[in-house]
This record gives sequence, C-alpha cells and structure tokens, in this order.
Amino acid sequence: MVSQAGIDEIRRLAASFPRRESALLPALWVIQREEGYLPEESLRVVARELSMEPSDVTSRASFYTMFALRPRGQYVIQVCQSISCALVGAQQVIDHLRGRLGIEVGETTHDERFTLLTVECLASCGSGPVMQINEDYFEHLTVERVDEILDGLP
Amino acid sequence: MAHPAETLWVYRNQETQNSHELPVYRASGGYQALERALNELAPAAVLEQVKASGLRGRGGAGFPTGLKWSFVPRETSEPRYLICNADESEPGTFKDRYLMERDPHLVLEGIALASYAIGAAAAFIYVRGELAEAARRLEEAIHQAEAAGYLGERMVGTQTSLKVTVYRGAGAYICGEETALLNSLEGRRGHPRLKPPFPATHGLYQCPTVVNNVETLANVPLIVQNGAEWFRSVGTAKSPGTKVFGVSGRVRHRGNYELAMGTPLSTLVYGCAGGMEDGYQIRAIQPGGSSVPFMTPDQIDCPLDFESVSEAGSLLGCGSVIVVDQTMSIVEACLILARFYHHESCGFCVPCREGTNWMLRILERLVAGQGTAADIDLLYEICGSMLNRCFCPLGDAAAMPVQSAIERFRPEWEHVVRHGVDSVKSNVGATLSGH
Amino acid sequence: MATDPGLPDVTLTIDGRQVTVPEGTLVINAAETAGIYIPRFCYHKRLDPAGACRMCLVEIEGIPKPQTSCTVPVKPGMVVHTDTEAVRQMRASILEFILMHHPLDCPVCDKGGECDLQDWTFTYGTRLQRHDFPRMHFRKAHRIGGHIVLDQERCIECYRCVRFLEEWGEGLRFAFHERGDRSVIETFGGLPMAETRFVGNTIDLCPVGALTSETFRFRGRPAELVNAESICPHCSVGCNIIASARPTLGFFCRVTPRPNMAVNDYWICDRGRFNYDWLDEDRLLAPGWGRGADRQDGTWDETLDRLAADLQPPCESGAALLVDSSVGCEDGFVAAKLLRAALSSNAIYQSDPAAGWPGLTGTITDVARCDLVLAVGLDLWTDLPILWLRIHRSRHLGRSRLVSVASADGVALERCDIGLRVAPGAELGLLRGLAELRGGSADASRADALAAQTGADREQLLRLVKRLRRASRVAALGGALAGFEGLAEGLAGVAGPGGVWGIVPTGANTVGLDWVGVAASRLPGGVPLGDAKARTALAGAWSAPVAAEEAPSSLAEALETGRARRVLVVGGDPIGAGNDPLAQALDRAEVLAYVGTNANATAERADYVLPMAAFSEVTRCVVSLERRIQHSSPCDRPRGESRAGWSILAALGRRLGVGFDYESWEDVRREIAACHESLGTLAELGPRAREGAMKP
Repeated sequence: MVSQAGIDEIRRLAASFPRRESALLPALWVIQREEGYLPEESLRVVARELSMEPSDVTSRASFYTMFALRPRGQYVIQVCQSISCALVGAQQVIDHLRGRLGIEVGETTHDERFTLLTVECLASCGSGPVMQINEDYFEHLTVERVDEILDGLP
Repeated sequence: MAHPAETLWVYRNQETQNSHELPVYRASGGYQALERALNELAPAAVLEQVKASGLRGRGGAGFPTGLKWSFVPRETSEPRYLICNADESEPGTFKDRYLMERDPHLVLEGIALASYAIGAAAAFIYVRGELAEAARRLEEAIHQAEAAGYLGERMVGTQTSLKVTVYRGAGAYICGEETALLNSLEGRRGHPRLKPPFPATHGLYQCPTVVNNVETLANVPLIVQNGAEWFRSVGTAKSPGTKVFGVSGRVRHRGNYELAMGTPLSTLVYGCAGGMEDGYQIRAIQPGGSSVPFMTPDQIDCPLDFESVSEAGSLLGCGSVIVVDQTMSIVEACLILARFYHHESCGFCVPCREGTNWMLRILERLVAGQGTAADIDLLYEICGSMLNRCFCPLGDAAAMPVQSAIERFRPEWEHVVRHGVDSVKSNVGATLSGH
Repeated sequence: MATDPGLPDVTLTIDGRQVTVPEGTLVINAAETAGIYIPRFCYHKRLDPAGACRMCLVEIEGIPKPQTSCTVPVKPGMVVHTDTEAVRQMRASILEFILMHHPLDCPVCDKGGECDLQDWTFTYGTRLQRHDFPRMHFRKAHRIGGHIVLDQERCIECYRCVRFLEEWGEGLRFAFHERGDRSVIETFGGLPMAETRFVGNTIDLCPVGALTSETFRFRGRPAELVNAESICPHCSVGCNIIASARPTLGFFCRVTPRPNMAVNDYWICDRGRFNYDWLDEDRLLAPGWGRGADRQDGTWDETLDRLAADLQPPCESGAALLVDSSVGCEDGFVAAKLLRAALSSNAIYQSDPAAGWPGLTGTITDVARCDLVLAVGLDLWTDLPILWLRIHRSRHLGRSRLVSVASADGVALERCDIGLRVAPGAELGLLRGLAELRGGSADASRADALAAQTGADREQLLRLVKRLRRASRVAALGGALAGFEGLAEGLAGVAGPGGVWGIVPTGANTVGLDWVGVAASRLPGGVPLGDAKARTALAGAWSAPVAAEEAPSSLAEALETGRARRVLVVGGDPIGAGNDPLAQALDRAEVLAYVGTNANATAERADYVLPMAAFSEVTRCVVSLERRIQHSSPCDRPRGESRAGWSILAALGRRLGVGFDYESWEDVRREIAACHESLGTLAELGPRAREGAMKP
C-alpha cells in the first residue's frame, strides 16, 4: 500500500497543476518509487485522489512502458536494442546477460534480484551499447564491462 | 576537443567544467539575453527577431519557429503555455540529452525568452522518462535560476514571471509528437490529437500553446543576444544557423557535432567522425534519425540542410546520422527499425497499428531465411498502404525507411531471399572486446 | 457533430454532384445528404470525430494526401472524390489490415447480420487473405458486467464505446489497456462493472461483435426478429425504442434505442434495455379465481361472469380502482370508465404519487438548454437516467450546470455540479429563499440566513446563489417529497418566467392516465368531477350514468374508511412494491381483482386473476413527463390467453350492463377523443403522432 507520505505527495502534485489529472504520471512515479511497481490497490488510491475511474487509471498507466503493473526484480536491467546500438554489438550484450542471469528477456531471476528487459533507444547512440540499471546509465559496454558492473552491484 | 569544421553555438559549453552550474553559465554570458529582452524589448520584438532569424524547428519537422509563435493569439484571456519537447526518443538521436545535462540553463533561458514572446506564465519541460539525469539537472537549474531571479516571480526585477515545471514521461516514443505530448502532459494516454485545431490555439488544456524542441529553444538566447543577421550569417538561406548532428554506427568518433547547416555529409562522417572503423564500409545512411529514407554511399556529399536532403530523397529530420555498415544487412536494419515502430505504435489508427505488426512479421521471416520474393513485394505494398494514410507521422516513419530500402537495395533483398542474410554481410570479426 | 442551423450554407462538389450544406458540416455528412454513404467504423454522428479507422479516406482536390472525411469540414468550392480507384484501394487495404487479427468467427458471432465489418468487407474487401501469420489471441466471451459480453479479439479499436463513455457521462468504466497492437478493452482488474447506467449503448455503437448483450446472446439473428417501434415502459422520460421478439418461438428478444433527438437522442438506459425478463418469465397465462391454494384456472367467460357477479351493483361496499402509472391510455381510460359508469364510483387512483400534476412546463430539450438545472428531491441518475444524460450532455459541452438538493442521504447528490444537503422538510423554504435571492439584490447576509434556516452548507449555497443569479434560463424540477404542498409554487418561483419547472412524474404514463380520467377528481380531458354539465355530456356519450359522488383522496383512505371494499388493480404490483400501508389496506379488500401481466405478490393475493398482455404485445399510447404523446406497436403475440387490458375491462363492463363496444384499440381511441376536445390529439394517428405530438 502506498504510504501516507506518498498520498500527501500525490495530493500536493494534484494541486500543483492547472488540472488535477495532469498529476497522473507524477503520481504513478511516486507509487512506483515506493513500491517498485503499480499494485492495483495503489491504482485505486490514485483514482480516488484524482477523481478518476480506476479503469481509466490502468488504461493510462499501461500505455507507458516504464510503468510496471507487475512486480519486478531489485535491479531492472534495460538494454537498448535500437539501430545505433545494434550496429555496435547490443545483441552480444543481451546474449551475455541472458547467459549470465539464466533468464530470457522479460523475465526475472528466481531470487528476484534481476529483471532483464530490452528497451528502445536510450539516447546514448554515440556511446553504445548502453544499458540502464534502474535509473543509472552504463555506456560503452563490452562483455567484460557488463560483468564488472554486475559484480559491483550491492 | 571541437573539430575545426564545427561552429559551436548551442554546444559551446559542452566541454566546460561544471557547465550545468549557474555561475559557470553566467560567466559564459548566460542570461544576458534574458535580462536585455525583459528590460528593453517588447514580447513582439523578441518574436520578430526569432522570425527574422529564420530559425526552424530542430525536432524533425523544420517548421519556422517564429511563425509557430505568431499563431498564438495575442489578445486572449486564456492562459498560454510554452512546452519544451525534451522527449528525445528517436533512435540515433542524443543531442538534447547533452544540452539538458550539460547546459540546462541555456535551455531554461530559451524557454524563458520563448515564454516571454508568446505571453506564457507557465512552461513545462516534458522530459523523456528514461532521461532521469537530465530531469534532475533541469530541476536543480530551475531552483538556481529561481533563487537568482531569472525565473519565477518578477524575473530580473520586471513584472514578468514564469513557472517552469519538469514533467517526466514514462516510456512512449509517440509522446515526442506534439499533440500526443499534450495528452500525456494532461495525464492521458499518449495518443496524438486531431489537427486542426492546432496547439497554437487549442493546446494544453485547450489553451494556446507552443511546443518547441530543446535544441530549437537553445538557439533562442543566441538569436536574441546576437541578432537575426548574425544567425543568418551561418547556414543556408532557407536553413540558417547551425545544427547539432549526431553520428552513430561504426564510425571512428561517434558523437554530436555542431555544424553550419548545409555542411556536406562527408565532412561530418569523414571529417568530424573520422570515417569508418577499420574494416567497415558504408552500406547505407539515414541522415535524420531512424524515421527517414535511407541514402546510399554515393550520396555522401549531400549538404546537410532541409532542402538538400529532401532533394536527395530523404529527410534531414533531427539531424541524426545513422551509418549502417556492411556487417549488417539492409534487411536486418529494417527489421530492427520495424521492431522499434511496432513497439512504439500507439495503436490509435488502423494502418499504423496493423501495418507495423505485419511489417515486423514479414521482416522476421526474411531475416530467418524463410521469406520469399513475394514477401518483398508485399512488404513494399504495405509501406504504400501506410504512407500518408495514418493518423500521425509515426506510420510514415515506420514505412519510409523500409520502402526506401527496398527501392534502393532491391538486389540485396532478393539475394537475402535466395541465400540468407549472412550471404550479403562482410564479417570483420569485430567483437565488443577492444571496441 | 450537429451544426448550428443558423450557419450560412456552403456549396461543394462530391463525385460530380453539387451539394449545399451548412458551414461546419463534415464531408462525410455532406456526402450523405447527396446520397453517398462513405464507409466508416469509428465515425458516429453523436460522437466527436476520431479519425482512427481511416476507412472514410477520400480524395480532395488540391490536398496531396487522402483525407478522412469524418474530420474535414466542408469548404466552398471543395471538390471531393469518394469513388476513385485509389479510394477503393485504400478501403480494401484498411479492411485487409483490420481483418489480419480478426477471428472471423461470424457463424457464432451475435453481430452477424448487422455487422459493419461484415457489410463493408462484402462491399470493398478483396476476399483474399494475404496475412499468413498466426493471429493474435485475446480474451473471448468475457463477462464484464452491465450485461455486456466482451470479445477482445473481435474488437477493431474504433473507440466508439470509450468515446461514448467519456462524452456521455458514464465515465470510463472500461477502457483501452496497453498500447499498439496489444491494446484491448478491459475493466479495472478484469473485474465485472457494478451499477452501470448507460453502458448498454456501447453494444449498439460497436460496429463488430466485440461488445454483445448477455441477455440477447444467441437468441436470434436480426433477420429472424420481429421489430416494432415502441416506447420504453420503465420511466416517465418516454425513450423511443425498437422492441424485438420472435413470436413464433414465443420469446422476447431485445430492446434497442430508436433515435429521437427530442427525447432520448440515440440512447437508452441499461434498465430500459436489459429489464425485460418479466416479459417471458412468471407470466399470468390463464384467467382464474380463488386465493392461494384455492386458485383455479377457468375460461375467460367463466372468470368474468363470476367477477361481474361479485362486483354487481348495487352493493353495500363501494368499488375502487388502482391503475399502475405505466399502463397505457387505452387500458386506463376503459378502467376508469368501468368504475364511473358501471360501478358508480370515483375512487380511481394511480400508483405514482406525483399523479395529478401536469408534468413539465417545457420539453426535455428545453431543460437541457437551461444553463442551470435544479433538481429537488429527485435522483435523476437513478430514476430518470436519460433525462440526466440529456442534462449531462449540456454540462459536458459547458452549457449547463446541474444542482441537486435533497434532505435524505443517497446518490441524489452525486453526479452533479453542486450537491446541497438540507434538513428534512427544508426544501420548500430553500426554494422560496432561492427565488428571492435570484431576483433580489445580492445580499450575503440573506444567503447566510437561508443556510441557517435550511441547514445547507454555506459555501455550497453561496455557489448555488451565484450560479442562479448568473443563469439566464433555469429549470426547477421537483420529485416525490413528503407531500407536494407548495412545491409547485416553489419550483415556479425559482424557475421564473422563461424557465422550465414541474413536479416530475415517475410512471411511463402518469400524465396520460390522468388526462384520460384516471383520477378521483378529474374526468377525461382534465375536467373537474364537479362539472355537472361535463358529467351529463359524458353520460350521454357513454349511454350510462356517471358517478358524481366525490371519492376519498387516496386508495388507502378509501379502504381504511370502508368506503371501498372491492378493488380492481390494473398493472403493476402494489402489494409487492414495498409500500406496506397500501399493501395492508389492499389486504382488507373483500374482492381484489388483478388485471396484470405477471405472477407477483398482488396476483397471489387477488381473488381474480385476469392476465393482461404486456406493452410489447399491444398497441398503446403513453404520455411522458414532458407531455409528449407517443405510440407503441406490438412486436409479439400476447402470452397464453392474456389479452389487452382494455379488452378485458370492456368484457367485464359489458357484463355489468354498460356499453363497451370496441372491436379494436382504434375504437377505444375514438371514444377517448370523443370525451373531450383536448383528447383529439391523443387519438390522432398521423405523421405528427409519429414524432410525438404534445399534450395541449
């Protein structure tokens, strides 16, 4: 359940925009920051706070790929697979991660530590291949660098 | 180090230490344009200056910026909004990200001047969700600028005020389309809106709104500071000024280069980017991001301005040059693009939703070696059924590269059908190691 | 979209034909006026244009790209081509795209026979499937509540349903989830919706079989249905409907809306659409007599003979009549005549407590055009959904505000712009105060005093007063409060001259029944019972005496005082309706005869059961809350031995020695018309009647 502090923040956000519904995306960010994904119960809270139909909230949330409607791992690894990174070896990075983590793209490891996703262009076309782990960028990837980065995670 | 071919205007602070800090920005002459404009110029004068400069939108469409501003009604009781489109998501494009991360005050000064020109008291920066660092830098910069009196109430001691809000997207390429961005900013699904009415009269909350790209706005302080004539002294008559061009692919020095409009593509690829890495040759080039038709290696001397690239059968778009080399088949390149557009189609209109799906399936089959010559014709026909018939430009963006790839590389497609993708690739054995 | 009739005309050319239409008309509609129907999926006249399906693309000279005719307004001199080779190719390719993942399960799809996708595929499709990849699969036959079955695979994403929910007030009870080719309609968490009001309309809007009716599912193909133009019997709005049945198989099939812009627009509410199981279930099929275990079926002759003997005047205990306010004018008229002429009684009552009031002083459209609508003691959303919807549409377009005032807790204060809770019984005081504040000077202290006096929230009241003072046209509608004393004056006072006001009836025919004489103190045409001349004229017309003695003011009173012991109930279920005092009073009746459609609590208690044909099985006329006279035709045969109410009552009347010589409902209408000059309108059956003439 979203915390009271989270609800207060959503209320502040709602009041800060010329129209309350503008606070939807920021409110969903608040939930995802607190809970790691968007549980149904919290979507109901957002619907109530912004005077919307709950179905409408899911409709909007599910349009955006960064919002997770299901739980994910502690570290969400997103590897860019768009053209510029593909040209410089993104597929090798993806294949290496699949092998190392023992999961396919879209899956989460059993220990719920890693979720592996591919993502479209992260605006690192000059410094690819690139992956994002949660909100941090890791660029100029090589297989060795991927291992170093993963080994270095707390 | 800047390449000698470069003309560093909006990218002038990129290499400066702590360029995102207010004192550093101020030391480079930052916020002088804003101070001068708010104290000495009427909003109409700022608008006229930008109009006279001939500045065109740097987000892809190249629409004249001053003209766009002039569509905002002058006499209206409704609030007006300025929106900075920082939803940089086009594959191959990474110029706005660095403007926001390394020179956020330049972007803010541009926003402040544009808001002043159109009479907006509120501005939003719609930052792509993935660009968390850019959003943080902008928020910090807003706090600094407000504390220093450049933003917020009574800016630089005048009666003008402006509230700038950073709004984070959440993963939707379509939100770079200005009306889809407006829907998203209203908390809705990022479907594009029917036009007309245009945002200039019916934008955010149905109020008059201008949506400008980050780089476009970053040019505004320079124009206000140095004048329209100065701006026109660089570039071509119809595409004045500079443009930040990004080069990606197997070139030696991938990156962004700010060049005068009209600089030949060869200068960018061979001069600035140092040409291809050892063992790699150019197969095809997209000069304006992933959405534009492919050019062939023999077109390498094409000047990079809106008109010349158009004449060459492609589009300048946002100036993001993607160099496809001989280790990737044009069919594979098309598959990677198709996967992107399929993933990003919002699904609102039939031809885009279904067409991107069908294109992807056929391209997967071709790359897997199970396609037929009839698939090539069908794919080409599907592109034709999408072009000009979709609700917004995303459908065109999905169709144009593939259509051009079939037109310009037909023998390669047929070869792939007969002998597989590997048969057309030169494998230099490049691995990630040592890159 | 509707265009303002005051706009100047524009002339353009479509397929070589000159077309002149009002400025602002969309090309797709301009073409239609020229007899050219451009194919479409997402466009619908009563929804904002979307431009999503691209099926209506046309070529317009001077514009390089094809244009969606549903989004482009006409321009003078425009030259449009809708039938070129290029346009035909576009249509074929759009159909090919749509059919890529469509399941093509037409043989088992309820929409078959009235499916736009089927129709357009036959007209413009290529009949060739080049897409040879596996189809995408989604949820099928998913019950999403509101009596709707969703098939996500059949959906072609025209957005008509969700646009309706957004634009017409229901709210997005279901919506598109996910995006791109993965997007599907879904409810929150996939759970069934509860308490829906208008979602059934999305079934009609759906151009394919994605949204189908749970109650109509697999009950028939459109070609197998017998359809009739009818009027919904469930409330006083009088929504125009198509009632459909399969008489040969003996069941009722469905109710769909019949567009009438003056009444229900293109819509009906879910209650009107789905509440028809009573037409097939627990019907009274044969006449009979005896209570409970003693009940036995008989022939019509036997039953009516016995009942006539029980009712035969002179008799110590008087007779009374209770007519359900949904009963048609013909039945009500004959029933009231039976009481007055054959049973010498004026104890004639309706079930609707608002009976006797004349309905609204203006039309529903007049109400929707008011910039402020004040509803006092009325739950429009629950009880008169389509009236709420018409008002809501004006709110949606920014032209109107809805204010609800109520003393009891309930939903009445939701789904409005201002909801004002007042102390029980304070409504009248509030109305009087508002009338003063609307006309007088803006004095905050008077508003404060009014808030204190009525117990209303001060801030809300001040907002209301501000709105009221700004409003140029006000509608004031009152509902069933404890007693109506002074309510009419209060409402009229707030509405003021130029406004609309009225005590709102709830029965489908409350106004009509009163008009034809189903009232203790009024004869047909609304003539007071005390008018001796009128009584004499009526007696002449009926060739029978007309009772003159005044009756008690309510049925309960008539029964409790013993002035009536023999009761005739026509329609409804007064004993099962939850009105306990009335049920107890009815239980005291010596003879209770029930002319009704269903085996309910009243039928159970009755001494005589006379099965009546339902509204869908007869021709009848009803008068709505806006005093609109509307006619309803049968789509079905009467169940079992049931007969039209008027025919049962006439047969009884003949046995009581009074002339009731009707061969058909037309004879009844003729007699109604002869009773009073004003009633001519009711009996009229011309084109005017089809549109719904207004009660004078």
